[in-house]
Parts: sequence; C-alpha cells; structure tokens
Amino acid sequence: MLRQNLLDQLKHFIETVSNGHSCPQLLTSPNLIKLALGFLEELPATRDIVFEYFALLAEISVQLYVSPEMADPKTGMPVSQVKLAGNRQQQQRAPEYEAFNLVKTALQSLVWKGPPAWSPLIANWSLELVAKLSDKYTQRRMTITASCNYWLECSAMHGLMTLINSCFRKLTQPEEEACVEIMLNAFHRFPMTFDWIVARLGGCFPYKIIMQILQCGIKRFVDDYRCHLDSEAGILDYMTSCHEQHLRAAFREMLREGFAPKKPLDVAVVPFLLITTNYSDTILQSLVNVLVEIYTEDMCEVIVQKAPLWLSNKMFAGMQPTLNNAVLRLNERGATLLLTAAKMAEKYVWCQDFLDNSMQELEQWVLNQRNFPLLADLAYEETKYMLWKSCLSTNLFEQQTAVRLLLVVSSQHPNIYYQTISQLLKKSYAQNPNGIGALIRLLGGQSGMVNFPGFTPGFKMVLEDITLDVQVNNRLPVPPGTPTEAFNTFSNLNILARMHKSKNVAPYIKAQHLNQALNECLPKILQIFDCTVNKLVLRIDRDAAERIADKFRAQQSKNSNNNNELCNGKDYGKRTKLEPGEDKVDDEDATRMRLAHLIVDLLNNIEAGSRTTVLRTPLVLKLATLSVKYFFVGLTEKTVIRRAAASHRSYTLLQRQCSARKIARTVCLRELVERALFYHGHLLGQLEVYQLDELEIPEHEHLILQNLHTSSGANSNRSVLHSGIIGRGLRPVLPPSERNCDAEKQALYLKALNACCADLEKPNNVEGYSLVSLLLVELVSTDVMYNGLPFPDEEFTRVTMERDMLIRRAFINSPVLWAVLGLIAGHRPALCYSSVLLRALCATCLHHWRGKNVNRFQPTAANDELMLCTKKMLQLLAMSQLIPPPLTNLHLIIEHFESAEIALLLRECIWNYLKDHVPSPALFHVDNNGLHWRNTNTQLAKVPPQYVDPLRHLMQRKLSTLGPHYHQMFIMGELMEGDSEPDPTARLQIVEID
Amino acid sequence: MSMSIDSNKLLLRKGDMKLDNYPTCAVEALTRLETLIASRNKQNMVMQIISEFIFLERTPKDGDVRKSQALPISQMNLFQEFQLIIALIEYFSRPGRDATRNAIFLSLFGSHLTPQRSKLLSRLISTAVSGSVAPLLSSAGTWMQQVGCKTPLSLEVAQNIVSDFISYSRKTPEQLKQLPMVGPHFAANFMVAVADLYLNEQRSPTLNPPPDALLDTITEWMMENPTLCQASQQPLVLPAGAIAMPFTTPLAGLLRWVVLAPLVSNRSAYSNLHLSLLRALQQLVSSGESTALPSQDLMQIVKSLQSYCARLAESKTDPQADAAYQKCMERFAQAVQIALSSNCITNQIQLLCLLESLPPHKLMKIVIEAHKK
Repeated sequence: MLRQNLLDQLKHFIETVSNGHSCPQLLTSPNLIKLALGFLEELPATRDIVFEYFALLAEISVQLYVSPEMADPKTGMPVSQVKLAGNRQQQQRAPEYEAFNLVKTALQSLVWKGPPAWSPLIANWSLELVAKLSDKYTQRRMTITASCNYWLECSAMHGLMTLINSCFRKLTQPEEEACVEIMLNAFHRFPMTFDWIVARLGGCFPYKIIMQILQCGIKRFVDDYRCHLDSEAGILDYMTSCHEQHLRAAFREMLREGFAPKKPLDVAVVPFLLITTNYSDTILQSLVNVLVEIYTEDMCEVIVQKAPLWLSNKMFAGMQPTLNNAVLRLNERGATLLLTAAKMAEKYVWCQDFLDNSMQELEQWVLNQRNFPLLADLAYEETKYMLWKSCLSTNLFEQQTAVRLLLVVSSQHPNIYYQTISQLLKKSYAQNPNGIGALIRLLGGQSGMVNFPGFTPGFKMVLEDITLDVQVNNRLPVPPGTPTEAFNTFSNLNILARMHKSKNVAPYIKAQHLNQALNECLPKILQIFDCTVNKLVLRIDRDAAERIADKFRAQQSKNSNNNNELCNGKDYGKRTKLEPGEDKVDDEDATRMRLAHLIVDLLNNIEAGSRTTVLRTPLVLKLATLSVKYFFVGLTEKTVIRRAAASHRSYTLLQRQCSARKIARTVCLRELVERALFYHGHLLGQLEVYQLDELEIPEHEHLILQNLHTSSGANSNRSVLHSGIIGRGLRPVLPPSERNCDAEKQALYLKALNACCADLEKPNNVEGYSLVSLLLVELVSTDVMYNGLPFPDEEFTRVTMERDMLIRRAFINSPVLWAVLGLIAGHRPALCYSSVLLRALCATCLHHWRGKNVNRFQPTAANDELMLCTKKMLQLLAMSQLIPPPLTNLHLIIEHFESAEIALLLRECIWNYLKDHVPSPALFHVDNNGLHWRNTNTQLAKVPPQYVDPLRHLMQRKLSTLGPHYHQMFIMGELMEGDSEPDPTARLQIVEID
Repeated sequence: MSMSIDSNKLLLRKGDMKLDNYPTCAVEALTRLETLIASRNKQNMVMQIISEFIFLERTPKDGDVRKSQALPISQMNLFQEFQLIIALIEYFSRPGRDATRNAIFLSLFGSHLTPQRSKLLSRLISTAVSGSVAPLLSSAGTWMQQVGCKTPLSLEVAQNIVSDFISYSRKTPEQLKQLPMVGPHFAANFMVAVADLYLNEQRSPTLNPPPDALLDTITEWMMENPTLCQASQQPLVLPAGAIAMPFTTPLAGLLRWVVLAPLVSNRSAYSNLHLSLLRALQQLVSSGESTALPSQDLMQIVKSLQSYCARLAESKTDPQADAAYQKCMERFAQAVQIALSSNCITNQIQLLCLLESLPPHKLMKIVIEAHKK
C-alpha cells in the first residue's frame, strides 16, 4: 500500500512539475517541496529530477529578484526583504521568492548530517546552477564587487552560495580538486558572469584557486597573447583583498618556475605576470612585493640571461611603455623598485630607459597635478629614510633618482622637502660630495611646478635643530674628533653660499633665492653664533683670569713668604681638580672655534648685514656685538696664520655692517674699544691687574680693627696714590719684562678698528675715527667735566690733576690706547676730539718732568715710562698736525734735553701753543682730494716765535748733538719758505754744506 | 519490409500514438509491442517503435544510410524520462505473461545501450527497488543474467543502486533489505555484480572494501536467506526460441570478499558473511551442481594473496608472522575444504597446485594434502 502510494506520489510530482512551468505558484507550494525532499530519502532514483526541480525553484526566485515588478518603485533597487518592505503584490509573491529557502535548509542539514557523498553532489549542482543563473540573468557587466553585492542580495543566490560554502568544508582533498575543476570549467564557459562566484568562493581554498586561475590564464595567454584576461585579473584582484598572502605565495611559486624554466609554459610566466599586472593595481602591488622580497643580485643575472626567452613572446616586446606606468601605480615599495633599478642602471642600459621613462612620466603626472598611488609610498616614513640614504650614495643614478623622487613628493608634501633639506645639510660630509650635489639639485626645485615649496623652512628646520644641539651641551654622545652636525651643516651651507657666489656653478638654484633664504634665517644663525661665541668668550676670560692669578701668585710668593704654603696648598688642589676634564673641554672648544669660523665665513658669503637686506634693529645690534666678540675670540687662535685668517674674516664682516648702517658702526666701535680696554685687554698687552682677594681680611676681624689699619699711621691721609694696601705692604708688581705689548695683535686690532671706520664709498670720511675719538674720551676720562677741546691755563691743571693722573694710568695700563690714538691721529681731524686725553697726558708729563727737577742729576733711563709717554704724546701731536712744523720734530730730540728743559719745552712750546690754538676741526680745511689738512706752508711763517724760540735757544746750546736736527727744523724751513718751489736736490746740497 | 513498417506506423498513428502527448503514446506503444513481439519476423519494426515512440530517439540524420554507426539521440527531458519510468512500472505491474514481459524488457534494454538508455535503466531499476515492484525486478533479474552480471551495463546498474541506497542514504532503506524476498533472482544477480565491484584487484590497483552499509545488507541477506545464492539457478522465463545464458552465483565473489577482507578491514560482519557462505556451500551438495565456484574466480583470490605476499616480502615481513595473512588463509582453507567436500569447484587439481605455491599455512596444508590423494 505504502509502496503504491510512493509511486502515486511520484506520478503526481512529475505531472505537477512538468505541467507547472507556467504556474510558479503551483511549483512553489510547500507540500510539493516537502514531497520532493521526501523523495531524496524514499526514492533515491529521483535525485536528479528532484534537483532539477530545486533548480527551477531557485530560478523562480532569481527571476522574481531581477524582475522589475519586484523592484522598489522609488529606488529601482530589487526589494530583497519583500515580506516586510514590498507592496501587496510583492508580498503575495514573497512565498515564491522565499521558496528556495526551504530547500536550502533541508539540503544544508543533509550536507551537515547526511552521508559524505552528498557534499560533492550538492556542491557541483549548486555551482552549475549558480553559474547558469548568473549567466542567464546578468543584465549588464558589473565589477566583481558590484556583482557580489547584487547577487548576494538575492535569497536564492545567497542560499546557493551558503550551500556551496558548507559543502566545501566537508570535502576531501580529491573532491576539492574536482570542485575547483568544475568551478574553473564553469568559469571558462561563462567568463564574464562567473568571475564573481570564483572570487567569492575562492576564499574557501584561496591558494588553489589563485594558482589555478593563474595557470588557466597562462594557458590562454600562451594560446593567444592578445587575449583579454579581465576575468582572471578581476578574480585575483578581488581575492587579493583577503588572501594576499596566498597570491604572493602563488607568485613566488610561479616566478621560481619562470626564472628556471623547465616546461615550455614556464617561458611565458614572466610575460604573463607582467600582462596581468596591467589589469589591476593590487596584483601589480603583490607581484612587486614578492619581487622585492626575493630579489637578489644573482636573480638580476638570471633575469638578464632569460630575458631573450621572454622577448620571444610578441606581447613582451611591445610592453615597455606599460611597464613604465607600472611604478606609478604602486602603493608601496615603488621607491625601492626604482632605486633598485637605479643601482643597476650603470650596468644595463634598459634600466636607464626604464628609469628615464618612469621618472618622466612621474614628473609629468606631478606637473598635471594628478594623484597616484606612488605618492603615498613616497610619503611613507621608511621610504623617506631610504631615499635620504640613497641621496648620499656614490652611484649617480641612484642618487639622482632619489633626488627626483624626493622632488616629486615634495610638491605634495612640503614637510618632506624641508626635512630632506635639513637632513642632507646635516649628513653630507666633505668626504662625500654626492650629498651636497643632491642638495643642490634639490634646492633647484621641480621645474615647472607652480607652487613648489621654498627651501627657507628647510634651512630653518636644520638651524633650529642645531641651535638645540649647541645650546644643550652633549645632547648626543659623539666620539671626540668627529665633525659635529653643526659643523657639518654650516660647512655645507657655506659651500652652497660660495657656489652661489661664483654663479655659474649651480645653475639650478636661483641665486637670489638662496641668499634671501639664508638671510631670512639670519636670526637662527645668529642665535647659534651667539651661543658658540659666548661660550668661547667665557672660556677666554676664564683662561686669562687663571693665568693672571697664577702669575701673581708666583710673584707674591717671591715677594713675601708669609702666606706661601697656604696659598700653594689651595692652589694645587684646584688645578688637579680641573685637569681630567681639560682635554675634552679643549677639544670641544677647538670644535666650537672652528664652528665659529665657519659661521663667520657663511655670514660673509651671504653678505649678512649688508645694505640690501632688511634687518630689524635688535638683529643688527646682535650681529655687531657678535662680530666684535668673534674678533677677540679669533685673537686667541694658536698660530699667527690662523689669527690672521680669523681677523680677516671679521674685518670683512665688520666692514660690511659698518658701511651699511650707522648704528652698526657705533656698536661695533664701542664694543671694540670697550672690550679692548676692559674685558679683553690682556690680549692686547694690557697691564695685568692684581685681582686676587687683596684685602684678605680675616673673617672674624672686627670692623674697628680694620678701620684702624687705614685711619692711623703715616699713610692714613693718602687715598689715591697709594700703591698697596695699608697693613699689607706693596702690591706685587710684575717685572717690566713681562709686560709685552703684542705688536701683531695690536696691528690686527687696529685693522679691525680701521675696518669699522673706513667708509668704502667716501674714503675720506673721518666720521668713524671721530667716533672712536669720542669713545675714548668717554671711556678713558673719568670725569664728565672739563672734557672739552680747549687747553686751559697751565695753572688750571691743578684742578683736574687727579683725573689727569687716572687718564695717564689708563694709558699705562692699556698700551693699546697709544696705538688707537695713533690711528686716529692719522685721520685728521679726529684726534681733536680726544683733546682731553692729550691735555691730561701733557699735564701729567709736565708735572712729572717738573718734579724731576728735585734730583736733576739722576740720569733718565732710556726707556723710562715718563720719557716714552712724552715722546709718544709729541708724536701724536705731530702726526695729527696739532703742532706746527718745527715742533713736529720735537719727539726726536726730546731725549737729549734735561728734565727741567723738557718741562720748559712742554710748557712754553706745546701747552701754550695748544692753549692759544685750540685743537679743533676748525683748524683744518678740506683739500681737493677731500682730505683734511692744515695748511702748514702758509701758516709756518705765522707761527709766532714765542712758541718756537725756547726750543731754538735750547737747541742752539746743544748744537753739537742736535745740529742736523736744528738744520732740518729751522734752516730747512726757512729755506723752503724762501723758495716757493723747493728743489729737493738743492735741499740736500744745503744739508751737506751745513 | 519497409512498406509493412510504414503501414504499421500509419496504423499506429491512427490511435493515440502521437508524439505530442508523450506518456500516452509510450503506453500505447507498449501494448502494441505485446502483439508485435510474438511474431519473430517483426523485430526491426519493434526496435523502431521502441526507439521512436518510447525513447523518443531520433537518428542524427534521418536519411543517413549508416544508421547503425551513429548512436541515436533521445529528445527526452528528465521529466519525460520519469513519465516513461512510471509508465513502464505501471505496465509491468499489470498482470501478464512473464515471458512477454521479459521479452519486452529485453527489447527495451538490450546489451548495447546508449548512455541515456542505460541511465534510464538504472533509474528504472532503482525506482522499482524503492517501490518494490516485483514483476519489474524479476524481469530486470532476467535481463541481468542475459546480459551478463559482470558486464559494464550490469555493473553500472549495480553501482547506481549502491550509490542510491547506500551512499546517499542515511540508513539502509527497508526496500533494499527486503529485496531478496521481492526479487530473489535480481538480488542474486545484483550480488554477483556488486561482489565484482569491491575488493577486486582487477578493477582497481588497491583493494577497496565495500561500504559498511552494503556489507551489512548483504550479510543480512545471506544470513536470512541461505538459499539466495541458488536463486540465480532458477530457470529463466524467456520467449520461445531465446537461449538462456549461463548463471553465475555470488558465492565466488563473496568468498573473495571474506578472504581478502582481513587485509583491509577487521569488521565482524565479514565473519558472519563467511559463516553464511560456508553454510551456503554446504547446502550446494544437495543440489549437486558443480559449477558454483569457478576456479578462475578462486585463482583471482590466490593472485591477490600472492601480490600481498610479495609486498610483505618487500617490507621484509614473514607471511607466517602476519596476522592478517594468516586470517585470510584460514578462511580460504575452510572454504576450500567445504567446497571440495561438496564438490562444487571446477578444475580442482589446478587450484590445488596453485594453492601450494602460496606461502605455507598449516590448515591449508592439511586441506591440500587431504585432497591430493
């Protein structure tokens, strides 16, 4: 009975299904579905037809899905959740649409719980069905992702895919392979519509699918090299998103075969892979990743060796243009690739071609402001470091490629540009000029780019970095002797600036730009300079102080032995403490010194502080101060040549500033004079002053006792002229032999002053010298009163005597003052302004000579200080034309007179003359050359005899010794007066006769 | 001749024989065939009607002379196939003479079939098994014997039944279990074919055992129906003039299973099967048939054992120490002993000589020595 029933059911089923094509409602009735499902168990022979029926159900569902009547009327998108969202008609059809779900559930349970034989069957059936349906109902070509999204919305399709997926998990190895085979077969039949399925299902056994797809592709490719590989590439592309590892593994495998071809198919591997990359960026990326990963030098050889094989493929021959584009499409490792090519370029011409084409393309794209993936790679941090490294390479191709790449990325990411400049400045060493070459190229910018970033921020960046470096000592541990980054940077900047100066060397850089940029960075440079120089100055001062202290201590121990042991004990302790660090400090200072030189060189090269650049006043002042400081630092250099070089640098620096800005000149001069007198006098032979704790007052001594030392005793009323401490005895005085006035350094100093004062445009301008003159008055004279030009009555000197003594003292202390006055004297009428100093000297000498009258028979020593001072003063007066001709020779003969006579001469001839002829600029007039001149020729006659006669008389008395002088001073003058046009030969004859 | 065919065609077409209403025309054709088949000189016409009206076949080019070479292509779709299957089952279920039915079955499915027909045959038999259609199964049994149980066609049918009822089935259906009762002849022939499919080194390089469910089913059949093996010996009901083909028993094939089974499996079902096989052999004595165990089949077992021993030698193992081999030989010796005593082995001497060439086994030695005298 039951069995008969079964056959009846079958009959019913067959009839319904074969008649039901026109009426989907009949087909989709749940009873029929249940019946069919029952057949699977009860009537296994009907398996095929039951599955056919299921396929019908699926088709109905898909039909509904794609049909317009099931679409959302508003959006036109298929309504997948018809039960909820659709209108009434759509809801009516919902059971039909959903019918397949029942089947899917049943089949899925069969797969999960039933015998294993079902899985391959269902998998194959579903695959076929999906392929068929998707082929039949795909209306237009879509991308894989779009297809996936579209079809997986459909419940039947989704169900089928789920089924396939669950089947795949149950498959054994050989079954799996069969399935892949089926899938690929289907793919071949419907390459346009099946790709999304492969891509979707490929995830179940990605490696196999990828490998198979590649193999399929290569077979097609070998058959016809012009074939379209869209679908293959599409699948690979889609699968790459999740299974890149597998794709890479497949590529690795294929490349291994391709590089060592055994089968005829292997020869096509490389061309095929390259062709495939044209279809998709992600594939290209993966391939490149693999290639970079496995790349070795040997491999390169292999490639070269095997290339002819690949070239036999027609496609490969014409591929180069597309390859060039390839690099631009890379998201990562693009730069690595290009650099690798560049490294080989020396060896292979094709690498050069590749590079050239790629780079041209790249630059073209940048010019057109197109965006491309390679940019992202270039902007990547690690790429940046790699490129920097390559910039320093000795391989020119590599270096240039790196630079070009950096330029390309710079147009989009200015910060990289700045960083690169900064880095290159820091890291290009003198030994390797490539870095600097790269830098020059880089500074040139990208030609044609409109908004290419400027390089000033780059300079600023590096300078900022160095500032930190210099300010914070030992920020990074550096082995001694290595050039610091600061040094390096400045040396590089210097090279740039120099190159720019000699214009034809670096055509890339626009000259003004570099100069301008560096001048913009002036504040930063000065900050570094400031830091460096100040440290050096401190060091100088400390050294000097120590040295003097040592000297005095030694002297003191010679003079008095009372405190000897105690002092020495302390002393030695101090010294030993200092010693360990000494070397390092010395080394550091040497480095710092070199840095300072470099910075000054740079400043000179960029013409910092010249009139053309705009500077804020504080900056001007700072530059001036620092220049002067540098000058003094330069004087401490060890050898003559270095000192000269350093001074020369500072002259240039000083001169430029001073002739550009008045304020700079003022500051420079003030600084120069002030420092020479007060801070760095020791460099210029200043009398070293005793600076130890002179008083040495015992800590617990009562004040009353201290006062007793000074207020009682024979010397208690002398406050000014004492030369020691009451109760302690005389100060230790250094022996005169040690008071050496360094002529060389003085000369350098004078040149510095000269550099500040000299006006290049108006060479006769004495403004600067006048300024020095005034400064001297300000700094040397202690009083604000009576600093005017006129000489008072000689009697009046008593009022100013104390001040005069101090001024004299200043001259003794700082011999350089004489030299400075000498300089000024040469530039008439500047010395006039120093009248007060001259007056003080004159007055004190007069008094001293007068005082010598007491012991007149004591002979004066040849280099007695008083005599020297007198001579120098007279010389100065003569040089500056403040005294008229016969008197001008006075300094030559003064030593032949006795003290009383000298006093007389000074009083009658000099003082009185100056009193009557006030030394003022008014005495001078400007001649045709613009020189200030006192017309002595006409005035000579008018020199009143009262100023000359005492001298004449005194000389006449000593004619035996002063004869020639007398002749020259008096007779010659008169002769010349008589002769309007003096003949030098005649004059000579007269001298001889005389 | 052609005239008469045409006239018959015309005659047929007058009735319901229109290709448009398919199943009906096939049913009609079947009834017509009944009468035609009796007359022996109308075989061509019978074939043509079957081809045209039942299988809807069309030769590639109607006018082509070389008809026999080009296989006809059926126009049927799957639904029509099943309609035909239903029609055939209904036809065979109707009361009628066995001879006629067998004749029609043999006409429908000869020994050379197109893939479509063979597939349809498989489905038909499978459906008949499911539906327990005894008359059809009996005809199928006859067909199998006539075609030969070990021919590819029969094997295909057997394989199909195995996959339908064993591979794709969660549990063995009742219908299959009751097959010996419903169609003992078919069951016996089915066993012959199935036995040939598994544990057979002639078919596959390795010994692959039958699915467990199949083994269980056959063991059950043998245990419950000891005489099943003799079912194939029943005389065939054939139309007059037809020659009955020689029968084969599943004993030899099944014996191969149980003897070689220890090499690949240790299921207890084999022991049960072995026991029932021995019983069946014993019962053969009464029937007095001597061809139940062809010595070729037994030699095949010996060959498999020999190759196994060769493999053992390769891995330097003494066959004496190999438990599986010992078990094989034990079973084989028992079977040979009983078979020899019940005198159902052909070409005994040759077999005994061959057995001696195998590595020595105690029991086998005894058996051989007992029978050599």
